[in-house]
Amino acid sequence: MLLALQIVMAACFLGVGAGLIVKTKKDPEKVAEWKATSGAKWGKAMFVGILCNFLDTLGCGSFAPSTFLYKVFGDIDDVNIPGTLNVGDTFPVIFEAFIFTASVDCDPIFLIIMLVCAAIGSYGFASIVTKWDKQKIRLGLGICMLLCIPVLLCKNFGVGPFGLIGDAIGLKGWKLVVAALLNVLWGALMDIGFGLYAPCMATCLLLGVNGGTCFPVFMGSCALLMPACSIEFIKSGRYDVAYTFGNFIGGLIGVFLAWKVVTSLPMFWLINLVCVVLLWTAYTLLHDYSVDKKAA
Amino acid sequence: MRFVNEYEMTRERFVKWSTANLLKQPIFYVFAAMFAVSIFAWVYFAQHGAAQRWETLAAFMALISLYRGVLYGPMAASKTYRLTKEHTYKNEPWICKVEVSDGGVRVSANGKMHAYVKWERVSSFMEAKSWFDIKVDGDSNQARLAKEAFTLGDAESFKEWMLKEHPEIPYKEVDPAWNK
Repeated sequence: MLLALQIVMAACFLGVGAGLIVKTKKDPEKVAEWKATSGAKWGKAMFVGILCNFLDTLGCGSFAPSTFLYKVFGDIDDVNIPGTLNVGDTFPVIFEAFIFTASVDCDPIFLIIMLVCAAIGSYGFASIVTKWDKQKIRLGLGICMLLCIPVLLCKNFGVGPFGLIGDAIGLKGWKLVVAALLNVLWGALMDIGFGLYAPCMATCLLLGVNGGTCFPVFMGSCALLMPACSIEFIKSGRYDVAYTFGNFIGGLIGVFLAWKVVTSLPMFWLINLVCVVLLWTAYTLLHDYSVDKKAA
Repeated sequence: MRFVNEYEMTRERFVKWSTANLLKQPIFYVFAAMFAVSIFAWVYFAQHGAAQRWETLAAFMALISLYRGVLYGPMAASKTYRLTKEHTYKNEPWICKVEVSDGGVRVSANGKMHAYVKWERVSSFMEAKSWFDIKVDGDSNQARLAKEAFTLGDAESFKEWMLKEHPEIPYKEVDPAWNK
């Protein structure tokens, strides 16, 4: 039965990859682009794929660092950036969700409830959250992240009134209700550009979920909500060949390396790593808030 | 003016036109098989005391296949409709009007003209059970006419007129999955 499940997973993964490879091989423009790509550009593409998807797996997200590096290297047409990110990152995200689900213990009912709630938030509340003041959300979320860090560190070091880090592989009762409602909110906020990884991770950890178990929850939520527009980008050819394959192949390597790091780290160090990710997220939120405030 | 077609873009109409007929899409059967295997695996793992992570993986795949295979299309279309209506039309009724004349096709929404296209730019003419499409610029854009919504002329006479007056425009079959 395990083999059957693995075969279905592999078929699903290969099916998505086949579309990209066939399009690239059939389209004369893409074949020419492939041939004209220098070794240096392939190197840069692999570097971006490995680094950004490594960071993505740790919870930092990959779109922002990838876009930053594309701008630094300056050898990709701006019009191709959305397609390159969406097509190339599809594979690492699927891989991420599968390997973490298969390697970490997580209550299936808890996982499904959290995933369904993220989808409800994204599809049911999109027209509501788009009316909210983005600046206030940035400020509020940034401050909440900052407040979570000392609480998590106290729990991790076993000091203060917050108790210890939990080791639950699922939640029940009021904790499940709170986690589910917050995931509706995090899913809805994705529609206006707020990442789900960090707030979802903080929610689960504060409610007593095991550090490792948080990973399939937030990765699954994001995999579910990823726009299914990769096929459209592939059809229209709006992607950069080198950087897309860099994200595809390099991304798989990056995810694998991060998976090794996350699953091999003792819980104490994993929670400290999560705190660094939360600090980074809080910084980006408050930085964006301050830049937009100055511009206004 | 030869023909005028005017209809309100309701959520039902938008979702119907933006989503494919599931049973006529090959990918649906891939997701259906994935769902069946995943559910069977979930039950099997639960009954045979396998590691919980395998049970979770099977549950995760069952949810993904149900969601991507069945629920995603209508959910995404409904969300797009609500956001477009809210942001573009300020939640007012969304009225589409297509006027067909000897010179070309005029498309407007809520009384505001969006485009006027001369016949030379029309690349194909398509028909489905409930609509006609006049495709423009290599089929990248389109003007859609609802068959039941002609306020000047009717669906049959429009089709006859198109085939007779514009034989240079290819009449194309709609993919069966989208023939609604």
